[in-house]
Amino acid sequence: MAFSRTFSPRPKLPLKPLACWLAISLTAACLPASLSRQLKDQGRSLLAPGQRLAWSALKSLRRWGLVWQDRGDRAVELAELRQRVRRLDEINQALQANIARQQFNVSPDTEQPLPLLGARAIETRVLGEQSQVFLERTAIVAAAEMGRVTPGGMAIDAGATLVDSGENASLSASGLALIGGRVWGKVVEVCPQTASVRRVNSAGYRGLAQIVDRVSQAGRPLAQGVVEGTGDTLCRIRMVDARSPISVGDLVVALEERALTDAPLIYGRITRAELTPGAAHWELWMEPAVADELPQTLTILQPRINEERIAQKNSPTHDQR
Amino acid sequence: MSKWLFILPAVYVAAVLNNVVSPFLQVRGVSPDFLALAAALSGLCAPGAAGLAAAGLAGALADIVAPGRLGVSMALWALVGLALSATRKLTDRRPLAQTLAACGAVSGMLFLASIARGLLGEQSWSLAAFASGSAAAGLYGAALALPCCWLLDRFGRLRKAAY
Repeated sequence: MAFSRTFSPRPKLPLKPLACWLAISLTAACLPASLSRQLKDQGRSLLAPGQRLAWSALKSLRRWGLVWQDRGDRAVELAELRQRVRRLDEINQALQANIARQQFNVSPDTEQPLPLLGARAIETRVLGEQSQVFLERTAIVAAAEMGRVTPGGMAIDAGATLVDSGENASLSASGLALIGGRVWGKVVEVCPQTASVRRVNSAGYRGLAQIVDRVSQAGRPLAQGVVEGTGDTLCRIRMVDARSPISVGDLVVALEERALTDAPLIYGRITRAELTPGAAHWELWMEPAVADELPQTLTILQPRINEERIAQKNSPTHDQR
Repeated sequence: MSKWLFILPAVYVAAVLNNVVSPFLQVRGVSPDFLALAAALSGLCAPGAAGLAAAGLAGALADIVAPGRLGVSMALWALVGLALSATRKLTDRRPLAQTLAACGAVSGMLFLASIARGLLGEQSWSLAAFASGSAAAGLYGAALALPCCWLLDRFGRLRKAAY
């Protein structure tokens, strides 16, 4: 009796169910990617009703102020909203100028309209160190040397590259600087005759980006995030949801100029993808698509209103229809 | 086995919580993994095959929700669930010991899954990040597991008293 109290037999391990389960797992791991994706979609659709219920519960809690919003989500939301406001401001200004000149005669149109926005590609020369030194001697002043400030002088960002076009070529800040279809940087400051362009991998660079599948030809979008320059060779991509199926080699394209160009503008390729257990976001590093050397020329992309569309609206043939 | 069927809806709720609520509970970049926690608790509560099935099912749902191929968490979590189930006599009716076991199990499950995904080339290899992330998620899991273990213990005692 005493023996039965102190000694408890070792629990029998369910080896057969374990072997079955491991076999099922191995089969699932060996499934082709397309089938695996289908199964995942099916599984997620099973979770959808529960998630809808949970979201509605969360919304009511948020209405009563009982739930705070994730700071990461807020940062992305804020960046997107700022971008949208800037774009809308530009469109509004252009439209107001057009309205002042012409009067609209709106009629229903069943034809596919031309795009409202287009892009103006401005070719600029990159100023080398010699040219910059020369400009500093003549017109450009450093912020520290306040005694040498002269009217009409230009302040330059020391960490940025200088190009030889500015307000004279109607450049505006935040226009993307390209080499071919690849993003080299972004205009950060515009002076009367020059502009400063910050490289993608320079510290302080930020831009909205989309990660697209490297496998599919159509470039299936996987996630959105914020590209950040680190001052090093590689850039970081932040705020990418941990549930997004990212892998090394996926392409990163610019999201800011999406409506302006037909082809995607490429930031680079993901070279490192880490998912720390329990983290809400991926830790991603991207290699820029452009080489490290200073280019001779850069193409600055500037949004513009499609004049053809405005002209089409106001043309006599359009009025007759 | 049939009396452990309540684990199925519990795992489903854990998956929903993981997708919807978990990002709101993020502390210093670490969010709780409700699915791993459900797998650990079911391993601690259910015996033998039931614990294995529950933890494996939670792993399968984790595979469905997470990026990467299926079957990785499904296999590894089932093994950890089975290990918990086999040693549950050591922690039975001791909520603090159960919490510690849950902490270790959650950390272990997440760490093993990360290692496996790193080996499969689905993500870049970073042992330190895997270990620290798993440990942080395990500690977070323990903080959530403590009230759950205490409640399960109270519920077990009440049920025994009723009989």
